[in-house]
Amino acid sequence: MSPRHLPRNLGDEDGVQAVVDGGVTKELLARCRRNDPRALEELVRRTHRRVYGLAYRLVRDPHEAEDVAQEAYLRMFQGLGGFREEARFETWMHRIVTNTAFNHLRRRGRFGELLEDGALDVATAVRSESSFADRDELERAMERLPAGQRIVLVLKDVYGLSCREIGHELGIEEGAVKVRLHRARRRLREVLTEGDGDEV
Amino acid sequence: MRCEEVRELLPAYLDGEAARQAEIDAHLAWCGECRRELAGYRSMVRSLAALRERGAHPAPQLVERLVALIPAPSLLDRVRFNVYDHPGWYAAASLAAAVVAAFLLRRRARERPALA
Repeated sequence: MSPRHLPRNLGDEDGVQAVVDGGVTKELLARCRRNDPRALEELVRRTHRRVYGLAYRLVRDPHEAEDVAQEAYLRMFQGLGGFREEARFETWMHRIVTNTAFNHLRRRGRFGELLEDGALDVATAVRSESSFADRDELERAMERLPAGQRIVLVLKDVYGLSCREIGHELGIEEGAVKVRLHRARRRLREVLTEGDGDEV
Repeated sequence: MRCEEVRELLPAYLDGEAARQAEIDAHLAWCGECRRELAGYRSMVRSLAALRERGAHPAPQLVERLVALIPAPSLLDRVRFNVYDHPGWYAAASLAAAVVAAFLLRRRARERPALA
């Protein structure tokens, strides 16, 4: 879709407009709220990697992550008109993706795995390098966490959702989210330092 | 507090939510090992936050599919975009319309007594 009759040069305004987050400016959001297709296209181009990345980390399948991203954007397009809190745009976007991904997993009968706060299989723990400069190592270490812990760690420490928001999306108490988060951090730290005794 | 107790609580301490926060502070003041462990946790959490910018790699066609989902603007929306885009033109057009309306009203007012 290449909309005509529409504003120009959204990208040129980066230097002067306050960036809300993720490269999204207040000006861009204001245009999106007016259903300006050029602005919405710019928003998609600036945020789609972030949205896909979160969707992929939640559903762990590239094709399903694309489905989730598409559904999430449809919901965002519908909801942007009423969205007023520019400073919270990133969190709002992350919550929509999370909610969409969880609904997707529910439809496929896979949501239950996220509610299990099982123990780490120590035999599968990976040995880490002494630095987290190797992000792949960190991602691989996260893969070794039980699903219920990994999902909370991803939403809180990677994407910045609050424990309350995560609890709301998962349907569990905020306190239970915190317990999982702290277990997940402890496990991840153990996995990353296991075997070499290195300090980070 | 013993080091084992402190280390058990460090994941919550990062968020300022550990039980016995003041006791942990006091322990950390003299225990270098636990301070190093805390630094390790902080480094780990910073690295996790950095993953946010490291998006997965979607298929190149995805972005075009997402753009195709953008709803078409209504006629009213298009008018609004033009007003926002060219406020000067619309101000001039509005002024011109006001002048024409004033002229027509004045002419009509002049003609009315003649008709009477």
